[in-house]
Amino acid sequence: MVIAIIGILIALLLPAVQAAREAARRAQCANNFRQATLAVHNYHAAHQCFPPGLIANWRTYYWGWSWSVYILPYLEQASLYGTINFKSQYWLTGGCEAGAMSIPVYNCPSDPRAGSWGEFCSNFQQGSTPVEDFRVTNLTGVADSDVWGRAEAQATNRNGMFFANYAVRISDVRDGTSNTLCIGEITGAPGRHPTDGPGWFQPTWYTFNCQQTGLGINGPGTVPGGRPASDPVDGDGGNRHDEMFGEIGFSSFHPGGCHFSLADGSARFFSENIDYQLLRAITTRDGGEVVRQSDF
Amino acid sequence: MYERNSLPGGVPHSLAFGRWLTFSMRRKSLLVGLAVLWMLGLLGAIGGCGRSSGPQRVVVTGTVTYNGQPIPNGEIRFVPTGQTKGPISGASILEGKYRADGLGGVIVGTHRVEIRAFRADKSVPPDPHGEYPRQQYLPKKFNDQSTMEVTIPPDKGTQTFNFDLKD
Repeated sequence: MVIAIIGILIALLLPAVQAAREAARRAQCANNFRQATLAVHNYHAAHQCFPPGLIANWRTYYWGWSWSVYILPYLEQASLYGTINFKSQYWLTGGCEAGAMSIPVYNCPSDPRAGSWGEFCSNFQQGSTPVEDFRVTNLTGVADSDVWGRAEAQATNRNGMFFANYAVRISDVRDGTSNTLCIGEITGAPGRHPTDGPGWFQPTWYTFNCQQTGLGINGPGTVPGGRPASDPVDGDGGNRHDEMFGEIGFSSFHPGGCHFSLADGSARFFSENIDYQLLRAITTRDGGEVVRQSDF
Repeated sequence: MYERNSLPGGVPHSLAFGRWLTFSMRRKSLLVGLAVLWMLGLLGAIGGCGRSSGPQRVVVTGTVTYNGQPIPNGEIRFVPTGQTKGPISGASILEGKYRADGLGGVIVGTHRVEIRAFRADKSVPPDPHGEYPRQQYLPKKFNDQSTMEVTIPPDKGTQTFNFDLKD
């Protein structure tokens, strides 16, 4: 009798316990966002600009490293940063090896795939199988309010904080750093390499680590937003990485939304029900919108 | 020390506490404690564990054709417009069909509809890995400059909206 009662009570308590554990993971994740944004600000203090979203040469497809590489010295990872030969390419010997390292600050404790391998490039492998190229990230730079992608990247509005071949300065953030998103949370999705088989598709901290907010939070292309398993990232409409960047937006496995940090260094949890226009307004750094801070 | 460890009558704290907790009392307090825990658990189950309540959403499904042909690969977006406030929603289009049911579907109200279709762009040379970029090939009047609007009524159940796009 007593055991039965205790059993029922424990069964009733379990959801509350799980909710408490999720709250703890959310706190840890928010702290990661604060650490990374603080590192971005320390970079600004040293270089008088924020790190570029990434350095890319569009004609040759020779892309380089992302903002999350350039802030490594400010995340106590100076020795890893020192191993990178920046005269190489991000995908060639000397330039690529550091991307095999998982950086704890970039990993969300609620994401079951946090810190795992992502597929990024054909004929390129650092893990044990051909689809294991770089370590994935849950922290991605906020590039744009509408368009961001491999093919469209040059045509982007470039109205966020991190995009290709440009380093934003704090004086460029005319909407105010407290009204401008800086880094957001992202997840991945299962996919398929044309010849190497199934792989995992998620932005990596090493390169091309930017995304747009026009897809909303937990949008339909994300696994938390209900992306069906019948629709893997397989490039059925052209290059599979274009598909990944075009469909997988900001998202998380925390219930009900995801984290963003603002350019002032704070980190906050944003609801997946946030108004589309409001999300646009706080994405742009220089849009001139009037926003109420109590709304987000 | 004396004051902290003794009751006013000079009886040590620990001893008094042991006398007060006779066997039956101990059992009763256990039950009371469990009842309190149960209430807390019930509160957690009711208040803390559901998905945060947002705007009402409706599952929207349908077909999409372009010049009479089903769109093999694309996406449809419902962008809140006018008085409707809320998040963007949508779905991918596969073989001319879509089903917007993520997070419960599309929020109730008026939306601007954006439809895009994708294919491999073989007019440019492939990248070093032999792959062609993805190209959106529908005219802008169906996406970036779309004026198509639908109003999702606050009904239960699935709504059907078909789109037959023509140049």
